Amino acid sequence: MEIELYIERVEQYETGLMPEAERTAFEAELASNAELRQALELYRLGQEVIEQGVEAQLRRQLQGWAASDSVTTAAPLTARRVTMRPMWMRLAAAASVTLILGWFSIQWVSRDYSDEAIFAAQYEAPDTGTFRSGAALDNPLETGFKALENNNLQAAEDFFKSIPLDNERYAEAQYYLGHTAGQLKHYDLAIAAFQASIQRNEAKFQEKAEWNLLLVYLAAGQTDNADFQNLLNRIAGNPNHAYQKRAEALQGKLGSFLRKFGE
Amino acid sequence: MKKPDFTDEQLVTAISSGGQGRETALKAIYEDSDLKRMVGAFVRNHRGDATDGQDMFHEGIIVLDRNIREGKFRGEAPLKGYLYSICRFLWMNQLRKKAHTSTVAEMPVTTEADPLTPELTLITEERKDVLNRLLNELGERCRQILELWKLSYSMEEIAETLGFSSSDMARKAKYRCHVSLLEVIQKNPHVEHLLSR
Repeated sequence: MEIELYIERVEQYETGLMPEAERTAFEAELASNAELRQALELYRLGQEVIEQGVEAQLRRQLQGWAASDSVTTAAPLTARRVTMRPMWMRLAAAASVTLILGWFSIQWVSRDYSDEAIFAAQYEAPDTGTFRSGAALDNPLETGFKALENNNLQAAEDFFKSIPLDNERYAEAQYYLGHTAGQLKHYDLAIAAFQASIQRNEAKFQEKAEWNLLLVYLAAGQTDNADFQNLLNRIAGNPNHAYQKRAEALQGKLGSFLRKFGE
Repeated sequence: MKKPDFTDEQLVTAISSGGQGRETALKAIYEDSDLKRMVGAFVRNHRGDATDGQDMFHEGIIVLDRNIREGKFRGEAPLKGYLYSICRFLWMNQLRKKAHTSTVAEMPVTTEADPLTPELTLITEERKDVLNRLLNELGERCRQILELWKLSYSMEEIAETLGFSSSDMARKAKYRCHVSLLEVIQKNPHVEHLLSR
């Protein structure tokens, strides 16, 4: 069937733009013309496909908003009643506070601005809830998911590694391999796995794999790596990327004076 | 800072009209912390955790968005209650699938009498997989054009958003992309059984 012969009429019909008389004729023709019926079905399926894209885009946006929330949500500051003290007491208190703050700053630099600490603060292991959706028994990656749920990381890593290139869920397998290997501190394998997942260009995993690749570079202490820098800049500079806000925050932390002070 | 308050009618109109207004409306719904908490509490009380609660809230908004755009939300119930109902339904459905049983006691069964019962189109994972694969066969630019068109963007807005020199160029590109999509679908071996369902 040559879809171009039908697409405009079908679209007019489906979007309600067809005049009433033509509509009646169209419906009568549907009863007798098998190709027209097929074109209508095809058009409707096409709409479903596009709707999947719209939903995926909204899902990324919601994840982005949630990610921004987690970055910007800080512990609320509570108002504190301050009573006036004599000047010498206030100066002494200020000096003590300065000394204590200085000491804590050094501690903070070494703790909160190290690669490990930033990684620990940012990394989120895959949500086991996501494994549960769908027909689990039919899922070819179920063995790996079960191993992950049971925290049997080595078994999960072995399983995901065994998924061949031509498997239709290869990108997904590599994505979970990246997580598993990262948690096992097999950083080279984790980096390669996230890169392989990204290369497959599957919307569902692309942005998540990119963000997690950054984090693995961080955990591996490879923040000077050009790939890391390029990827971080690209995510932070793309307002449509689900992890843009987090990447910006990460750039801020990596470029922080306190981090440099601790080096 | 106080967030702007929208009426249900304003939210529905903005979502139906698409464009930036839709995004603002969806963000306002997303930021309703009471609703987020209610959904989270429901999921936690029914064998879920905080992450599940967040996932259901997100999935609920996705269904709400679609139902409004497709005219399935008729304003017979408050939007907030409707969204809560969707999230509750989605979670119970997920639990039921997980348990491989249809005897989940709390499952809210669709009834004509309940004005809050959302009209949901739940598609199978298999169908979703095939649809996603078809979508992935389109180039990024075609996807963007068709998604904007689906969201009721005018050809002028599509041209402006995607950098076409005129609305005519955007219209031609949309036509070409739409035809390519339908041809991709026609050629896909997995599609035959989807069409007959």
